[in-house]
Amino acid sequence: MKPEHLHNLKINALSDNGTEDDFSIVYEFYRPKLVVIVNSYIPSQEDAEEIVHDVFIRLWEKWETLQITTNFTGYIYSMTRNACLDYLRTRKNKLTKDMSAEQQEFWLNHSALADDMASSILAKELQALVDEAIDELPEKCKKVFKKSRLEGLCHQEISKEMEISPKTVENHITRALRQLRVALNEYLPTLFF
Amino acid sequence: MNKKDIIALVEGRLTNERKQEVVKWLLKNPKQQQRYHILKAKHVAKSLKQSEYGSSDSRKSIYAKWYKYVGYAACAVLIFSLTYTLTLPVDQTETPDASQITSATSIGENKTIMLSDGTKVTLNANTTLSYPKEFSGELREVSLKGEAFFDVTHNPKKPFMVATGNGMKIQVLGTVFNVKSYPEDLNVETTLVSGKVKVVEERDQKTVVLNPSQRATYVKDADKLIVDNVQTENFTAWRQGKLIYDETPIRQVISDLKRKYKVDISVESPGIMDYKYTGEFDNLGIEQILDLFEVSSPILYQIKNNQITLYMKK
Repeated sequence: MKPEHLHNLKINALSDNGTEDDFSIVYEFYRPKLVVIVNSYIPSQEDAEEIVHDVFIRLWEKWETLQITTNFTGYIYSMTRNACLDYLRTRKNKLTKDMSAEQQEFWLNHSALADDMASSILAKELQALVDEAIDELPEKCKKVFKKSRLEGLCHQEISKEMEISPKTVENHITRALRQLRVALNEYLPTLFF
Repeated sequence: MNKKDIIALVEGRLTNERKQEVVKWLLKNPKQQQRYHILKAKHVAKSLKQSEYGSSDSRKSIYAKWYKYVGYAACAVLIFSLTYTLTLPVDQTETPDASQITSATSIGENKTIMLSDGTKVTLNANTTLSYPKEFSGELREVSLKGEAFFDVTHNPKKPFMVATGNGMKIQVLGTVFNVKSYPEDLNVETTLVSGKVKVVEERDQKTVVLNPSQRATYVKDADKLIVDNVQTENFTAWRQGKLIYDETPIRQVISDLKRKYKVDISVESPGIMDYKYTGEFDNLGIEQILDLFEVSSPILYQIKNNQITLYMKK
């Protein structure tokens, strides 16, 4: 599966609460990782969590109508990165007589995160982790999940293409979501290190 | 300044003062700064991956862990019942507010206790540890006055925190470390044996993350946090009754002796306090230690009914 296509994640809601399911999986997967990234450039853990929280609120507001043409990881990463840069920019540009040590650090962190080459290292790593998580699904299940969520096929199309019943398609997807959920729940308490 | 400083900055291993210097230097050297951007990103990417491995491990070993907890719980029950029958009247009191337990040692006494999560804590002399009977809430919080050696049960869902009331607190997930935080001492020291801990200076929330064999010294008066590499054995040997000193100011040695032996020590000349002593006392009596002082340093002593006076050889 090519997670570059995670953009279709929200399109194929499999049940009534499919959209919410997808959102909470996205939330559980990305949130702790984004906090680790943000907290590395913004020393205050509290502020870091708040920035990531705001990103998800904005994402949720747009969720139903979200159309991402490139890739989802890149999208959520750049949302987060921009929020961080905003935070750092206001702090580094604060007018003071002498630049304080803290301000210098904000200055340095701002340019570190604004550096596209350095930043792409982070985006790539995030992508690799997405690949890994989906790769851990059982073979059949993974195939169905990819077709549904990444290639954007509907259940009927998958059923035809893979010569399995629509009911089986649905079962595979439910299973994939459940397993992702269980696996991703483990990532939640990555608070400190 | 060179690449080593940049890496130290990226890994958060610098003292505040040094950090300021390096940051300033980087801002003036675009080429080095570029280097920093990349090294920093790589480091963050690595820590992302590491948090990942940690969690997949915990997924696989869920049963092993469960058995471990059962084992720990059993031990805890055993220790608690033992302590209850043996020491309750003397040094275990339950505060009225709820289930806070206070465990204390007197001069010259050491004691090991087990907390409800399986964490083992050895208290050095003249030390008080308060902890809840059960850890509820999101943190496992204990407060320490004095010196203790912690072997914390790993639980990423409930970080363990040691408050010292001396301007510093320590946050961990599961790890082995020593905290020395006597109110009468000039410094608060955290020495890490294994795992990882985060030391937080409370006044302005400055933090450093320690790697094994590193020590964070918080200088209370100057509000300074210093990190250096040390021989951890020197800082944990007290558990075996040993005192090991390596270029340690006599001031510190005297503080330790006062807590280990019921003695009063005064100094004739103030210069002695800053004399740096190197030596090892392996379960010795106070007089043997003082004799060793005389052979291994320019310090002499006199003793009169438990009152010891130190002075410099002329």
